[in-house]
Amino acid sequence: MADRRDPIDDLRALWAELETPEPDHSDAPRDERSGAAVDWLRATWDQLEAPPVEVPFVLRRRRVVRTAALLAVAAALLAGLSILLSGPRATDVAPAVPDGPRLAEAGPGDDSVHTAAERDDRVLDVFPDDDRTRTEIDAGGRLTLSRGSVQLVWVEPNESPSTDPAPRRENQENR
Amino acid sequence: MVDPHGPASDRSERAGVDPELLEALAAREPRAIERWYRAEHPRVWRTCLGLVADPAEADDLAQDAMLKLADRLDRRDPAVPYAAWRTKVVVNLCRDRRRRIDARRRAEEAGASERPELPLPDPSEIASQAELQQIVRDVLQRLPEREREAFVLRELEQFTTAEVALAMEVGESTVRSLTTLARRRLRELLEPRLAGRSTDSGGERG
Repeated sequence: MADRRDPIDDLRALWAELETPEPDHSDAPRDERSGAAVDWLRATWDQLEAPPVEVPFVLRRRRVVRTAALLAVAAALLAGLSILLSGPRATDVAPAVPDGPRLAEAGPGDDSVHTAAERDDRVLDVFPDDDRTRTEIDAGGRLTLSRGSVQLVWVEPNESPSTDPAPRRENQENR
Repeated sequence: MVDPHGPASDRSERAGVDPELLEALAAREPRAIERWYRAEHPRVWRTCLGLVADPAEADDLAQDAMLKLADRLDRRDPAVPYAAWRTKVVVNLCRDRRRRIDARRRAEEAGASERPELPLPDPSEIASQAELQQIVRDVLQRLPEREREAFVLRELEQFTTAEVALAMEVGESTVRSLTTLARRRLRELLEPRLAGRSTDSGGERG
């Protein structure tokens, strides 16, 4: 019959061979011999001088860029928050692209036209898209679109825009 | 009993950083980052030199460490003492870099003849920084990695045992044991050479 040793006995044998960990002497007074070696190395170490330092440009720039980026993100968040708080408007119309004369559009189903843009040197005027367009302006200056569609166009005071099709003011009723 | 690490005020001055500077950094005051860099670079460079025991690598490593520290300044956990946080970042960076350095060093040593053991000079008689760096390098390279970390941080840079434990991510008793082992190894390494210096300079010999 084969010799079947208990695995626990193997473990005990290994355990018995373990060496006691190094005692912790560091807080005890150092012996004179190791003290002399450490003192010599520390005296040498204390004479070391770091090389001249120059602050990397990338570090200064990164700091500035990061600040600017944080400000931009904060501004974007504020703008988004402002839109959320004011709520989406069913009749909102996207303003025209900056390089074109067309500012906004609206159809008969729209109650009003909203534009966020403002310019000091131009005024906003309304032009019908075609002959079918019908608009009305009440006593308070509020313009109502009853048929067709119109364009909102920035114009200089007393100047006609050069849109195509050409705006036909005569089609605007009560104007 | 004389404190082998010197007065506590000296230790905190070497290990710490001006609290007003940290406040200026947090407030993103102009030029605060430059003041911080100039104040911290010498400390970080010394730590890097001690941990990698290679002056040429320490220059590059210190700059990398400073950029990494600058990058993380704003995200630093205020509950962790600044000096411990800084040292931990530097230790981790040095550990990563040391793997590459050690591989290169082994390749260099394989083809080099054994260097003669010269007597150690009196520190005050060492003429140049290059010579100082070379001596420190020769001595610290003989210590195993973990013993060197503990010894440099505890005995040379004089951080507290708790700060070293935090930086090395080990227990305080481990730091004490590693430091003890490093001292013992240094004694075996340096004692004959220090005795040689005493003989050369006409001093007493045991």
